[in-house]
Amino acid sequence: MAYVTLEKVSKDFGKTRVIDAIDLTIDNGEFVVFVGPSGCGKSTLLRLVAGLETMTGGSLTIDGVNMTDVDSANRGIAMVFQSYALYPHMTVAENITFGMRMAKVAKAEIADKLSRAARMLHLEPLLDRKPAQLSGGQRQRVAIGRAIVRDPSVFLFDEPLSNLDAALRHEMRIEILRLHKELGSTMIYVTHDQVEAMTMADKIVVLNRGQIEQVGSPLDLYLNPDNLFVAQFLGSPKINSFPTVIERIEADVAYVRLPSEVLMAMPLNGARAAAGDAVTFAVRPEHFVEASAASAVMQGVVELVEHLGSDTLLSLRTVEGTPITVRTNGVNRIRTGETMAIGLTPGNCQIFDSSGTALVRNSIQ
Amino acid sequence: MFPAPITNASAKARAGYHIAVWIGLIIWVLPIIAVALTSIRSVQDLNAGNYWGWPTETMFVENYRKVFTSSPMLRFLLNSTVITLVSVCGAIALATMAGFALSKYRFPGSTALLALFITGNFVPFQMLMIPVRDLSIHVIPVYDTIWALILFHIAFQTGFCTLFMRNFIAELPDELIEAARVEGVGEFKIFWHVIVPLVRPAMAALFVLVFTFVWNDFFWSLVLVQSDSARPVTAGLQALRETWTTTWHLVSAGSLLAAMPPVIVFFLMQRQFIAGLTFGATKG
Amino acid sequence: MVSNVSTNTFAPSLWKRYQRRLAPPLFVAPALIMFGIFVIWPVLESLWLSLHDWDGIGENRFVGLDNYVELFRDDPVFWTALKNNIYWLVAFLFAPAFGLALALFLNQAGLAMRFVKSLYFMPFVISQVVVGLMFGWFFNAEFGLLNHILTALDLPKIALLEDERFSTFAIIAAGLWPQVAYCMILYLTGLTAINPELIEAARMEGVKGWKLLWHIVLPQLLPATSIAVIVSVVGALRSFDLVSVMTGGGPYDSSTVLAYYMYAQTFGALRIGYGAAIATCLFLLMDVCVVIYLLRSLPSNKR
Repeated sequence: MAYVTLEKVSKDFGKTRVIDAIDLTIDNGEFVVFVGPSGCGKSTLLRLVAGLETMTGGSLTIDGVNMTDVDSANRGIAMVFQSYALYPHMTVAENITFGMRMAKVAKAEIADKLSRAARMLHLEPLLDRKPAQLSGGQRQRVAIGRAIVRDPSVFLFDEPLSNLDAALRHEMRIEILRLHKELGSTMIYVTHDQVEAMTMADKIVVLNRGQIEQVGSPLDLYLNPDNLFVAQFLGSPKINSFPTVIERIEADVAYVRLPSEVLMAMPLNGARAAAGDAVTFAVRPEHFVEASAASAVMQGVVELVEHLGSDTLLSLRTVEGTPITVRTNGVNRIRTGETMAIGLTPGNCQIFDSSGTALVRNSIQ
Repeated sequence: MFPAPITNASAKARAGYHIAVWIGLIIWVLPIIAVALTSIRSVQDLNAGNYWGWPTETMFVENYRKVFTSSPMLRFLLNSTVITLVSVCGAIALATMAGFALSKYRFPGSTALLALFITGNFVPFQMLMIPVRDLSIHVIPVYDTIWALILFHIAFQTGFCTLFMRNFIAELPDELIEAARVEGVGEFKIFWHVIVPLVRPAMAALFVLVFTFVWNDFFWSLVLVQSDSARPVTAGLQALRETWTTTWHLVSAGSLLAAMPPVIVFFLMQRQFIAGLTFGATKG
Repeated sequence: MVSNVSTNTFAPSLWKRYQRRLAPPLFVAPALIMFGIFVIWPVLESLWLSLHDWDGIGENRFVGLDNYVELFRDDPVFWTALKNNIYWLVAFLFAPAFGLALALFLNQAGLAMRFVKSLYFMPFVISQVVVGLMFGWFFNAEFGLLNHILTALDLPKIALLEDERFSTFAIIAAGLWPQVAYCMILYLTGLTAINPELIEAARMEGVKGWKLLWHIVLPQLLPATSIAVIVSVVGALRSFDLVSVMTGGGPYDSSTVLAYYMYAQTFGALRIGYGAAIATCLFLLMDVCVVIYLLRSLPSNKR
């Protein structure tokens, strides 16, 4: 049975519908990431689960209990805020134990929970300091500590790493995942950073304008996006997408015209399409193949070479002026101005119809 | 910085500037200097007509002791102290609660209430004079006691203080309160444990400001109090002028005693005072 | 994972369930009650009283607008008081400018300067009763310092406070002393809050002196000016203490202001309704000024 269920959850702010009838199930112990561009509603959705906003419609169930009208404090959740929201005038220990002290929990229990959380998060030497004396990463851990001692059914994270620098973010990502492993709790995590989403999630929920675009495992979404939005949102550098038209269809194979005067044959696998349909052809920068192994070969002049060391990013421009991004392994010695041939195989490409829905998927698993 | 920093100018210009500032200062506070000098002047000096020159002998201890022994000045000072301290604490307490409610909660009528407190600030005292006096005689019989002044000052200063607190608390992050709510902490506990510790700077600023306003109040001391036993130092000083008539040294000493406490509080808490006065000046 | 959900009942007490809605009114209540009793209600009662004729002891007779008619038609002192209030208002509108001048003069860094600035601010912290006393001596006809100086310069003595033509202006001078100090502090704070990069950028473009002041600095000081003007207006209309202490409204009511006249009528002549009418006029005058100020400042000020 699903642990957290959202059924037709909607939220209006005045006349604007910010969350539109969302259905979602989350299993016990899952690490779920809500991701999407700014304004997509991911933070609002999290706050609805937390109870910090009231739903305009729909219902929320946690562990079998209907929590739609229940107060935040009684939902069995704990939240880590983007700005950490630590009480500036209290020490680390006081911050973590504030809720318990106010609820008049027994001193022994408070001490016990505090020491467990402090140990888990390496906060022991910092217990008497005030937030102003801590670094960003340390404050983050205190905020997490505050959440841990509540023994919540669900942990909620609202863009917790966005205020940290890159190196620290990487470190904290690992910390949070380690925590997840150790505690085994259900965690809902909101971020706008697709790298965080890809690396941390058991399940990603891509949101756009208050609606779910796709739900699935990171690789699922990366390799087999349901629609163009998800395809373009995940993956850095962005997927190459070429708007084009199906020239003709023969024996369940669609022929599409691509930049650099190439005609590509894509098996439809039963998908319904007609000649003349406007479609978008998409292929990721790393999915090009050697010309010798390809069924169609594109060509472009190299405009920019970016050496990352581990791989090379190349910006090509076709004879029509279309830009193509290519990623090759290792160091590629090609120079700007030279012409490069890149191969396509149908198994590595996708076609999306005029509404953005996937028409033909690739066969990568 | 504008005007240009004086450290960039020549040594001569710098010296000239500082001289000008200090001379200006002496002229500016001349009345205070004059009164201070007179307060230590001897009676002979006054009789001889030496009002403005340097005193021939300094009678500091004698004059000030005379003030205390020959008049109810001590009583007046005590009254002022009690009235001011109680009023200030009362006003700040009420205003912090009200300011919290008006800044962190949305409820029907909150804007109207805020407007009420703002406009109440601008009401001239004369508009309140008769009814408040009546109230203190017939309804809550505190007329001619320090409680009349205390109750009024708490009520009136609450208007300004609420506005101030409301603006200050509005700047505290909402997430602090949300985090506490998610932890299951009740509203009053949130107020006491989260909000109050964080508004200490605002309380300090208000303390200094309201202390000055209440201590220096003259009008209500006239209206609500008749007898020396309850009189604060402002009205007391004015009353004493009639008895002391030409004993200028006593009048001066008494004036300085009356003026000192807010000055001392100001010097001790300068930054908070100025922050309080100018809170809106840099934000508009 | 143990959740503490089950330990919390779902039928908690009324308070627990609704505290977020019940708490705000409770927080506001004490302040509101006090304010209502001592400020709001009295304003309404004064308005009501102004329509009556009463000496405080005998019968309280309703007379409608008679008091106001008498004020405007038959009472020369009212008009003197009103005229004096206007003088106060106009004079006090110069206070921000003087305060700005002082602030510019004193806006230098340093420990000594900090001390000096505090001392320049002293006049505002002192009780108006004491200010009135000090200036009363300064202007004294016999031995006042002003007359000392005049005598030293071979000029005739003047008795400002005893002269109907000048008494009000002498008091206004006394009133300006603390008011200018207040405006000075407002501007000093405003000046330190200006983004220094703005000034540096302007200086690099060769703008300095008066031009810099007028085009760059003053616009940045708009919030400070705003407050300086409003407190000066309110201060001008509030003036009671100085008038009471320095001249008692005299000689022959020449220096009286509405605030003092109201007091005199209520306690001196025992005309409570009449005094309330005067107070109402003062209230209206203050409201007019505030409204004018708000109308002019709201478009440029955002809340």
